[in-house]
Amino acid sequence: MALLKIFFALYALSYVFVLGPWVPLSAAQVVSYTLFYAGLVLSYLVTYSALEVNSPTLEIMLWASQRGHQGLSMEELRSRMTDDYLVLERLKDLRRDGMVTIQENGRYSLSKKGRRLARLFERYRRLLAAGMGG
Amino acid sequence: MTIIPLVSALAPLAALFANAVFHVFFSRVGKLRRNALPLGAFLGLVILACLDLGAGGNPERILTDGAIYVLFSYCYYHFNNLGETARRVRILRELSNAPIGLTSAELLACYNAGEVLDRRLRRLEESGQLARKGAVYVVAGGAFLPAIAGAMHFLKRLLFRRTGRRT
Repeated sequence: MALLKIFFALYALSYVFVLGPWVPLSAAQVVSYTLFYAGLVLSYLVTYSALEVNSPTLEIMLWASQRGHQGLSMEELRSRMTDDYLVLERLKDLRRDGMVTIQENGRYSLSKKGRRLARLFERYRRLLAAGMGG
Repeated sequence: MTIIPLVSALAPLAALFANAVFHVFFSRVGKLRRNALPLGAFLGLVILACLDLGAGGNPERILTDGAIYVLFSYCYYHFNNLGETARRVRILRELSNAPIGLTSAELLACYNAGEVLDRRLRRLEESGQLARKGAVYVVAGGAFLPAIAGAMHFLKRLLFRRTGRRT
């Protein structure tokens, strides 16, 4: 959210102080400029969030390529990819981001924000006739 | 000012919508399911070209709209990928299916490291990136994906001074 605010402020500044006075823009050009800027910002955000966390798929490929012909055994994969590493850390992320709350009895449940996101993906996956994912 | 250039400026959004519609359609067609995403992206691009050329678009307009469409399609790809592979989304969905919530042990009974690993190994094997040779897995699909993995590893070290801020 903080990043989005920064990007919105930059957009306003770039339009008012850089483009506005020097380049007279038509309404269509303003729309194009806005869409291009929004596309760049969103692309940056999704790439950044992909970098923030480790992808198990890319880790498997990196480890396998480092091993070369020796290969990567299932035992080694299972010893590196534990429940704590792959699942419970992400549960902590969800708590930190306010998507999940913990009740007094130690059960995790969804916050309003988390429920909205879960529903969005449930509907989208149903539209694609796809399974649970993950 | 006429309305046509303004509507034409929105062509990338119309093309993105078409991309998503085609993606959903092909995802429901058995044989094309695996290629639904690139097919949707391609047909969205075709729609964009038709809209721009139909509106008498000049090269600058076509280039700008093309760039906007590519950026938004990239975001759509990531959104779709989230539903397909994101562990956080899967955890949210498991919790959504549990009216009284779940303990961490109950969550792990539904979704655990074994499933995360099996799904990824299966996907990598099916796409020919990884092959099983006896008791071990070896890279089979050329250097592209390992190069991507290496680049991500390098970028993480550059940005976060380690191989990822979170696991």
